[in-house]
Amino acid sequence: MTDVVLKGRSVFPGSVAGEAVVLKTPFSFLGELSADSGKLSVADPEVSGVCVRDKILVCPSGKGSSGGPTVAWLAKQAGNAPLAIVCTEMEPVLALGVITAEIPAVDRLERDPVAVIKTGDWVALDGDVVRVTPRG
Amino acid sequence: MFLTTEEQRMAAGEYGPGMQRSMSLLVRYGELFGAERMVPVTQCHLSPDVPNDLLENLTEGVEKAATRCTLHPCLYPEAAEKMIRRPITPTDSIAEGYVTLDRDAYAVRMARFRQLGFLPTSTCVPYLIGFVPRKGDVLCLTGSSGQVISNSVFGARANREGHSSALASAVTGVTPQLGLLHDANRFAQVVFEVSQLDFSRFGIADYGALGYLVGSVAGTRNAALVGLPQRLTMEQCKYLMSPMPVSGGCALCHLVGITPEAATLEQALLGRTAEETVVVTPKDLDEVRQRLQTATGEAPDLVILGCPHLTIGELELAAASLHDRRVRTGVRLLLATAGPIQRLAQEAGFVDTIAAAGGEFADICVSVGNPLAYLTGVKTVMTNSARAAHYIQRMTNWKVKIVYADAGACLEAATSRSER
Repeated sequence: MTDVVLKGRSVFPGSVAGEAVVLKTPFSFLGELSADSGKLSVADPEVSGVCVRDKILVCPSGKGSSGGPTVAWLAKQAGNAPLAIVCTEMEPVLALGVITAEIPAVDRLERDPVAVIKTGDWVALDGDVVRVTPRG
Repeated sequence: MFLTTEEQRMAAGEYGPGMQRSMSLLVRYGELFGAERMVPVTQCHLSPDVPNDLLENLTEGVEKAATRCTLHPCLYPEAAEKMIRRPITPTDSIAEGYVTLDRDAYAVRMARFRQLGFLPTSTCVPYLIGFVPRKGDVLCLTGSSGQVISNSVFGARANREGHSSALASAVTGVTPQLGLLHDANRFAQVVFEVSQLDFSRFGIADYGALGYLVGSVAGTRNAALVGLPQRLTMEQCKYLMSPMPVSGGCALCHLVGITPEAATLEQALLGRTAEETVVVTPKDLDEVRQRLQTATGEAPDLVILGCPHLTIGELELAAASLHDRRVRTGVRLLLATAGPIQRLAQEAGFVDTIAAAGGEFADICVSVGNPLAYLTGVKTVMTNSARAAHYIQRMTNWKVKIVYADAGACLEAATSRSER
């Protein structure tokens, strides 16, 4: 399979690469990511419990209350934040999380990343460009 | 995004690194969501549970906050120890490390907040102790119940915030003009028709269940309720509104005929057509109450009232129903309110009556940061708050069961008749 290259909007700049973890539902740092362990706690059993440290988190949007950016910051300081977030469309609290913690992030790609990217794919983010290398 | 000369100086670092980082954060955030300019902030309300290094990062070199600032409740070490009746230890963790019990870090953080001019209010209801939002005021508030109540009940302007953006606005005195700060964005998108409900028999827990339903259907959209009684008390508003941002992300809910921007449904819709209209039936509310109540017959060992913090009226009612009762053995009864409200209740004699019955007082958050729920062997919590029911279920990974009922039933379950 060939790589897919998608251009989007840079939410926080950066250049990183890692394995994708794909969430099908909007993500909140508060309540869904342990800053202490980097593990997800979400309804989807395929990815719940997965540690996102050194991974690229892919999700449709954000949600949740004011503490989200604080958990993003705590996770980043502890080395447990995802390397980057690739998102269909940012929402204010998730956007504030990545801006506050300085986690590279991109949204508004030419195709919906939640549909294009599968958990385990290799994803490289460079500013507003995302390159997806399908697994296997 | 347009910045004034003064704002450009802040962003360029002329007022030190904290001001520079705060302004840069707000500019990046504003540009992402299409803000064209900054607007002055009337009031900020901040959680003290901000990590010390994040607080320092955004306030380095800052002498005073640029606007009136109040503080949310947090779980301070003395309150935690009083409640769990033992010293805290380094391994005591609340909500996966989100709430810290580090005594030294807390002291450093609070000293810094006082130095910056933040008032140590320790309440989620600043609007009940003198910080009254006025129509058109711009507020940056952490604590999502304050956001939805300020927007809806008071007609002030507040967006959903993060701790970091509210702190950055406290430092700079401005916030990007986006979302609900624009009058034109304040129209209801989802309309809830509630005239099938029998409000003559509606208790506080029914209002909470209705709010929980509204939030879960509305998501982050603005809502309007049509068919409510034409007079609602502050208490009814408080329990109706506060679950909306936890079951969803709803920050504005017009109550048609009641709240300032919704004299009529047409006004609440700003002349548009609703995206969705939902007719709420008594059966819908029963289903919500079943989601909020996870206990199946267990008696509570912890009864909590005060999410959001209790009003003086609620304390008066609690005192009246407790004057001839005692808290049962093996049960704790916890009432949370703001310090100034508790002092008034003390003067009025309510505190003595409640304390004589065995009730305990706290000015902490009794849902997210309640040490009894995490650090003691509590198995079943009874509460009249849909918001507390939601958070305690999740923050304890559904280990603690919930009984959800009106305050009267909560007080009755917590106590038995005494021969005083």
